[in-house]
Amino acid sequence: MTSLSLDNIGVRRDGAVLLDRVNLRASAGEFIGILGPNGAGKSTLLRAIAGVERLCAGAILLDGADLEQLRPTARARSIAYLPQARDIHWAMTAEAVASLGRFAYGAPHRLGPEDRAAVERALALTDALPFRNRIVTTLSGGEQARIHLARALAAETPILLADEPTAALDLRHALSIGSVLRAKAAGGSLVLAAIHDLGLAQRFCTRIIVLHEGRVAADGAPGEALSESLLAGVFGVGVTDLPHQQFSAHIP
Amino acid sequence: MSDRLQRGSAIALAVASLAILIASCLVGPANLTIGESFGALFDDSAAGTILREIRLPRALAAWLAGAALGASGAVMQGLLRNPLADPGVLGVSAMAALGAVIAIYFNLSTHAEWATPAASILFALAATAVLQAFGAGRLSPARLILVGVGLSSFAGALIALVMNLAPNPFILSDLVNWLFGAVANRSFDDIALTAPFMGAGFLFALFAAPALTALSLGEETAATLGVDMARTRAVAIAGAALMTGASVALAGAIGFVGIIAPHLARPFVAHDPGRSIAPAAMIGGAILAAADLVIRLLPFDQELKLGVAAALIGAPAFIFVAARTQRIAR
Repeated sequence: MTSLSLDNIGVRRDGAVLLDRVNLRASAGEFIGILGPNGAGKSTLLRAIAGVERLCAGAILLDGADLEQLRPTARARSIAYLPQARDIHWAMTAEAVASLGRFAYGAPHRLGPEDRAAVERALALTDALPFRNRIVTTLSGGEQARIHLARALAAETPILLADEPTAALDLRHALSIGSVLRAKAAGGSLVLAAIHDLGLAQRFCTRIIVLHEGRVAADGAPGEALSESLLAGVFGVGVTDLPHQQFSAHIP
Repeated sequence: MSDRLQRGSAIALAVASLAILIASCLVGPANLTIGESFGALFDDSAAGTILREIRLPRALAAWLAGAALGASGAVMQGLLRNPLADPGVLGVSAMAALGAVIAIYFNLSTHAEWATPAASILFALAATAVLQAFGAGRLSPARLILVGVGLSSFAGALIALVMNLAPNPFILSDLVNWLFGAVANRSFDDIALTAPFMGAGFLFALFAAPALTALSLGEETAATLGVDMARTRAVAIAGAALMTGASVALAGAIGFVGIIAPHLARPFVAHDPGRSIAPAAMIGGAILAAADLVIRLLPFDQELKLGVAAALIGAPAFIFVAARTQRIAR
């Protein structure tokens, strides 16, 4: 049973405090939506867990072991990370990019049958099979986003971190990715995703964490965490302004 | 391209590259037919001496220098994720040239024939050590390039200084000739001295290759995929530097092969930077062996220098690549 615990972590960059004494306990089965206005620290939190952001305080423990002590391969087998910046520098095929998700299990062009099967599943989940042989740089933004997500899913790790997984997607694919992530969590993984769309978060997440100025402003079930006063205080919007208001109410 | 087609094209590439190397041995100013040349490889005739002592080492030197530059360019382009990176970008080739220039200035080759390539290798190793000491493994691509530019400029200034101080026109002419890059009169001793460094560099490069593929997604993502970034940079830089330094030691400063060869290799491997290293070596070797072949056939009194010929062909090709590649500014 995977458990992740963040103990009082802090992140600074050039003197600016990006994360300030963040505490979090999470375990397998949860799909945690990380919400907050721009600059709240959502991406930084995911980057810290992914190990690409240096902590200035605190520690992150995976099943009780300090993440910083893990070797890169061991970490990659436990945590997959879909970053917000999704560069691909060479004209590789979509499938080749998705296959990189299995990097921690073997050299990219010598994948075993298990690895191929995992890539196949990930391409199917993200509805990316039709363009698997296309060159990624010729794909649309949404298709590229799905290939990147397929890459992260292909690792089949106990923890998945996704930074804006639905940002570039059309509604149908945003909803389908939402259920894919939820199903992954239900299947025994821990999923943390930074999400801008409050409606999507309420609909799919099992738990919501709201960040504000680098600190946890709220943490709870979707119905509880997004209270009216919190929305006013953190996002600066009244509930009547919410575009998804009618569809955010009491949907599991 | 299917796997089978890719394997086939890789074999075709290797065969074509070796064919050019062999063709290069069979052609030269001594009027031997191809049949005579081939037979002469294995007998004691004068023709045999020409082939084994002059043509074979020369052709092999051109091929090896080109192969090392091609592989080195592929490593640097993969590491820096920039299609215009070349083996010279780290400053190692300029430092290797400086070593040779100093050896020529002090006329060290009168004491030992291997002094010039040895000095070149030593300086290339020193440059690599300096890069690693500056923490090349921790530097981002942009900063690595800046350090390399600095190292290149420094070596370039010292080369100019040595030329400035040249005591007589003969030494100056030797220096200039060497800097142009050539493989005329190379012996098996020169090859024996430099090839092990190329081989070691190539092994380093192959060791870093899978990580270069993962680097296609950027350094941070690669790190989360399980790539040890610091080790990858250190190994890739050491490999590229060894191959570049050894190539400069063997054939002088030859530009453009290191940029063009990886570019030509990429379609053979579905643009996978990790797998482009070996094909880039095959293509780089073929380019320089062919260029040297052309030089020997040209009816000039003064033989064209290999580096000059490579630049004459390579510079327009470089402009073509630069104008066609869309994602350069990264």
